[in-house]
Amino acid sequence: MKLLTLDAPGIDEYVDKLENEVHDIKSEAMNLTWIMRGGIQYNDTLNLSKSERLIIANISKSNMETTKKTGLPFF
Amino acid sequence: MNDNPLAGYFRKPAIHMTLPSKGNFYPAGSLEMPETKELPVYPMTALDEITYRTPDALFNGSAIVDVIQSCIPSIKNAWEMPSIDIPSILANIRIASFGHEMDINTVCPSCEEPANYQFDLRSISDSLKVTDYTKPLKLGDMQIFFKPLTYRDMNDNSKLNFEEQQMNKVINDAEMSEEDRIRAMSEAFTKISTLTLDALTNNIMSIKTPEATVTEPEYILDFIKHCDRDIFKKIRDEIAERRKGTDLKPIKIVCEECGHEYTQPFTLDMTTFFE
Repeated sequence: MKLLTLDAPGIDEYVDKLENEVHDIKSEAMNLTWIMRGGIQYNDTLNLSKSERLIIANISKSNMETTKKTGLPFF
Repeated sequence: MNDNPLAGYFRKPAIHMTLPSKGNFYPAGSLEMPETKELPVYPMTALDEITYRTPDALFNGSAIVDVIQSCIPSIKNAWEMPSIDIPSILANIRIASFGHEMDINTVCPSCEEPANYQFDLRSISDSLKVTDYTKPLKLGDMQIFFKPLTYRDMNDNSKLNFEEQQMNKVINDAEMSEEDRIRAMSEAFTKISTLTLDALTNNIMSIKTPEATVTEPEYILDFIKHCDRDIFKKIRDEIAERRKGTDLKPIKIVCEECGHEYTQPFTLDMTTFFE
């Protein structure tokens, strides 16, 4: 395992990297939960696969573009 | 973990896989083999992605166990899975989650040109050759039957190796007195010997003699400790030879810049494989 082969500063750097990535995943999940307006709970978002999260993000993007084009409220 | 009773219904299997071990070597209760003999593999969830980024879980091995049990629910206790299944299982989880192509960054050793190489993970399962564990090593009238290490054994070995590395650093400490250095070296040597003997014992399923068949690990360990050097060497070499079939082969790469052919080692290290 990579962790077992690093020296102390290398482990610190690697742990920081992992923590940042975890933060990004949680932020993405929270963002999707907010976009779904109560249609999905945070815990449920954490149980979605990468491709499923991508699908929701694409739906949201498409709705945003429709909103911009039509001038209607974001749905 | 999600306490929603419907959580198990969220994902659908992305692919199905056969185990290189065919389900052998799993203790009772640690694997539920479907009728088709093919295990459903689910894509990783965000929660799984967080799990394998948890340093303590990576260090103690539970990250791999948790992710495997989440993505392949048929495996009930991944600590007990045989080592011969691990590369194939990890490759299939990655295929189910991110597709079968994996980017490999490489630098040509000849022209030093960096390049990005796409590796097809489906070829991993094809390249693995599982040794026939029903064939024993015959030493006179004694027959030795082998088995692969479990993930738990492998993980324990990795942790002991890590402790060993730390010990080596201490031994090389310039400020250490000669007496302390000798004591530390002696401890390190004893630990390495114990580790080696345990690893060999864990690879032996049973030893059959005209009088009895021995399966008790403590008796096998006792035999390994007290057998002659030649037998010890033959057992060690046999285990190494059997392991070769399931070692991942290095990737053959042809540099697009200068045409130089070279190989690059490929590992399924959890910390880099799913990045």
